[in-house]
Amino acid sequence: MKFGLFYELQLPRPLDNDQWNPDDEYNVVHQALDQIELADKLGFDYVFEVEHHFLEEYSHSSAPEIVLAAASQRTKRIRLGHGIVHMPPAHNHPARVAERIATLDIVSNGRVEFGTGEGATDMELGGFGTPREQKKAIWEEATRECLRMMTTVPYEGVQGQYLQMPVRNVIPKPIQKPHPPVWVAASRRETFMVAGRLGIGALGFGFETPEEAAVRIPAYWELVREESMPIGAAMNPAVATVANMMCCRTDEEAMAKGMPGAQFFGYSLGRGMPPNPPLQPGRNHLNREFNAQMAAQRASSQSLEQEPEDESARALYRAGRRGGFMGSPEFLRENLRKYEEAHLDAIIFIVQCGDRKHDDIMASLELFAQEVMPEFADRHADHQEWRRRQLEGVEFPVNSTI
Amino acid sequence: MARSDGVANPELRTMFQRAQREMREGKATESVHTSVAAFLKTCELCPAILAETIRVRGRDVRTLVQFPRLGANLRLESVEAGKPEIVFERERFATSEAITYYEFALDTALAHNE
Repeated sequence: MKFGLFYELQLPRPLDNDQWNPDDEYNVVHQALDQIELADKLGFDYVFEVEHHFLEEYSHSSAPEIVLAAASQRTKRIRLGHGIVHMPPAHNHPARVAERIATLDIVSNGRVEFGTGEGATDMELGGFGTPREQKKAIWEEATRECLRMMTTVPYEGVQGQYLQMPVRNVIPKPIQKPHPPVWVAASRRETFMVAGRLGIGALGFGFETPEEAAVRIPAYWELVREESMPIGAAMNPAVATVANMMCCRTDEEAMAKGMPGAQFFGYSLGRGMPPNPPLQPGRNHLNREFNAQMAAQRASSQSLEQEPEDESARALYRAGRRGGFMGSPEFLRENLRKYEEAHLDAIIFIVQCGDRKHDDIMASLELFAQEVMPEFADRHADHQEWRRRQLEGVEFPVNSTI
Repeated sequence: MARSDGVANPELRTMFQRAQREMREGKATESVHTSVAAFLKTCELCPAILAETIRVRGRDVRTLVQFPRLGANLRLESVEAGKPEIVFERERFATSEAITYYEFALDTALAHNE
């Protein structure tokens, strides 16, 4: 099993101010780069950075290609993932995506992982005028054409339902041939099945348990072997899941340093979605709202709501809770072994969130690398052998980096 | 993965096999229509589906609110009236949409395999 980091660039507004301090955005970006540089030295395999727009406090990562390009110059080995690029042409024209991915691949010496997605929130879809009910079809057409742009000379153009473009040679081309490994954001079971059938890595945002992973992963691999209709010129059969992580000497210390950030993550993720009232651009103060809600919960000793059955609601519920990776090295190792047994390819850790301290994050990464990572690295060859067996009989080119 | 050959009702099983074949032949729009028809057939065979609820954010809602809304939309009023109807908002569908409808409909059928 491989390990990665996941960045939203969260930036809660200060409690004593209606807006951010002048250097807050500078700090969150530069601290993330410091963390990525350290992660590279420590042996983490991936960093994925989101693309979000207009989601104040929740994510200030609207230009991940810039941060990843900066990271490429401060790292040597870690793979640089978009987690994910919004593929609707109104957000990013597919030709511009192909150009940026290829250029990042060049400046990073072939280290790009191309995560793709539809865009999810009303703030973003509405901001760019992408109809919610068509976003999956738009994603598919844009992704398919974008990959063709990376691999054909010249690109023959398209008169599609959502994208029209004449013949052009889209340059530069990526270093990785035929194109970098492709992923799709998958928060629901059906999207996992889309990923398997289209030969794409599933970047799971459902905060899946090991038991759920143990059901989904074999189903995904069956689709890869038996039903695959690859969207690109190479398949990336892989399943990763995102989870919150804080590793400290004791469970108590990890909870104290990690939980408020995770809770803010969950709160701010769900705040823009129904049945919550719509966000008012530039007017809300999510951090104050969050702190008020936490205080009210403490005062009323409110019992925790039962875990929702609906997948999307359940992901939100889990996003703000401890999960399996906030604790001592022993606690993390024990939980990671369960995912390893389920044959999960990679876990991508949310480390920067809420008001979590940069120094605590750096210390957590070091402890994880020192006391958790080694046993999984030692067994990774076994997992690669398992993957090789899963792919027996698959004749399509594979470019996974697991 | 969910397999159509596990569907007990022969007519329904044939519908899913057709939807899968259409999907693999690149006929995404036809596949969506076939999967939706299979879903309605499942509701006809097992009307209890219409009344099932799940817990979402502290309240019970009909399970079928999870039906994909990708242009072939289930009218929730029709579910409440006991006669589910699908409204097609578009003429053309993509492969990923066909997969989504197929997986949802097949999962529903297998969960009510009587």
